[in-house]
Amino acid sequence: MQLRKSPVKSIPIETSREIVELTKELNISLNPEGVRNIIRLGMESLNQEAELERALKKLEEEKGRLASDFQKIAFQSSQLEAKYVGTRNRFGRVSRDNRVLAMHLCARFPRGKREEQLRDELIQKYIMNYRNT
Amino acid sequence: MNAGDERSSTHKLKIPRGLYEEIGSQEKIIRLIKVGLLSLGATSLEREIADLIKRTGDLEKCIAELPPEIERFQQLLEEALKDQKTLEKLLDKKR
Repeated sequence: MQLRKSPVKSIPIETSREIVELTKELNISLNPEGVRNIIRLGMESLNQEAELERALKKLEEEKGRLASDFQKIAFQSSQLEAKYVGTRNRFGRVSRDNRVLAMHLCARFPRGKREEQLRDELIQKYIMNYRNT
Repeated sequence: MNAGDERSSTHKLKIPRGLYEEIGSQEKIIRLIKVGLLSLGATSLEREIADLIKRTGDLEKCIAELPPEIERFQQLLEEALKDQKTLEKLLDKKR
């Protein structure tokens, strides 16, 4: 009786802990299909292992620097955003209060030309031309 | 399968036999896998870097646009507060 050869060949990778670490970092599974794809990628690569390791280290450093810059800018942006929203909301509240006051003013008669002018301006602004922010 | 067998099976790579025979040796396979993984890692990092650059650019744009808008609302707020005082004064006078 002839034994059928298994379609895969197992090789231990205890000697190459880096492979285990790299697969974890990249979150990929090394099933036979995955191994085939990675080996093809290795064959197509124009760079040597040492060159790639150096490039990877440089890229890691660049990513770290960019991530740190991004965090600083994100903090600055969130501060500005909070200031913008706060100012806009406060303006909205004061405008709504002014609209209510202007409505009360509608029911009153002005005393004097100056008062009449002010009254008309404020009614125009907070009732007739009022726009919600 | 006992615990020891299970542990050793997780540290084995299953290489399609045809590919193994094509390459010829275990050392070459390990080396190609490492090169492949490093190459994949570099591509993945390049993508992450491009994404970070884009997100940083978007935030910088936002940072540049916000101060004039804040200034505009501050002026409107000052004006509204001034109007509030006038309105209160006008209403108070008439009581």
